[in-house]
Amino acid sequence: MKNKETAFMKLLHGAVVFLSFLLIVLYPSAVQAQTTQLTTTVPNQITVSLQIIGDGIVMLNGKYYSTSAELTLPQNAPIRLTFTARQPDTEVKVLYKGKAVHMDGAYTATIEKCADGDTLRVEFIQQQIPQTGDESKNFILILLITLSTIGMLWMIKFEKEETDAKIS
Amino acid sequence: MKKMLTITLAVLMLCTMVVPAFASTTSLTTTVPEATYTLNIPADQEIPFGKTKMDIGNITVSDSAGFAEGKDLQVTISYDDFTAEGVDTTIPYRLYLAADDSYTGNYSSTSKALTSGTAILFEGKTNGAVAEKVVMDTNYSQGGQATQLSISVVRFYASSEDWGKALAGEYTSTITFTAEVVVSE
Repeated sequence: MKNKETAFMKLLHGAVVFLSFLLIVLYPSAVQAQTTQLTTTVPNQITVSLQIIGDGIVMLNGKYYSTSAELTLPQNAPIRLTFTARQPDTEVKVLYKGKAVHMDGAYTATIEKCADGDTLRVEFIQQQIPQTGDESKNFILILLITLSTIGMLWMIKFEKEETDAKIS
Repeated sequence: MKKMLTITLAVLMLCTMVVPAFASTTSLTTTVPEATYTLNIPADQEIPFGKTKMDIGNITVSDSAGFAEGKDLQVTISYDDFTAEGVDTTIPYRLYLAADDSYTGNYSSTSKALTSGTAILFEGKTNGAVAEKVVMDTNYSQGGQATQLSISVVRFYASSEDWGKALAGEYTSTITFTAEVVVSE
């Protein structure tokens, strides 16, 4: 009889503990949580060799390069290039796999797709400033003025010598 | 018989005894209504590969009511790096709260880093609601007080280097917004 009572009490205690647990778990909490899921896909990547000839900076997909480098780029994604020449009167020429790339502007170009192991060459070519005719004209003018001055000085000196000779 | 009679009389005497003090009670009850509100968070979205800066939406509160005076709504934001199943690399990123910078024209003065675990506060108003947007202090002051601006957007930042280091795969990251009513400090 006593054993039965003890078992009943144990059962009762267990039920109380279980109900308390349920109450805690199911009680509407004042704290609420919501989530936002961000996703992104990183594509397979390829290696492209960038060669820079001349004095300039190449910006490629947000990174700056002033010397040749091996680039790791996403596959099947367009590459946008921006160029900054360090010297004035510089022309930029872009060659991809040895062929000239059409420029979007004077200092931007886009390559739609690159393949693994390809070479991209950027040349900063400083333009030769052509000689204008003005400089030779100036030279002749200076030469004439110099010759005239020498001639005048020589004439003055000659006249002075003649006058001195007459006086004496 | 005598004993029985004595006990009966004693009981009767006790029952009829006049009590000089009376106690009566009045119960006062009250119910504090639960504050109600709608927390609006940025939608699930795809971040394009290589994107270093992107506005992902704003955190706002609408239809708020029942906030007793001195109560605010606190939202804790937590997030982890992008991870992908079966890929070892992760892509770390940062979130910033940014106010409309047209006022100052200077972005750096109107943004606040939102590191994981940061709590932001929607301040309670006298009408029982809370502010719809989070307000932040700027570096600019007017009349000796820092100019305050409302947050207009949550900005995502990831560096080009970290994008470059990531191995190919489908990455995900979850931002958790945990809201609770708190007592104003």
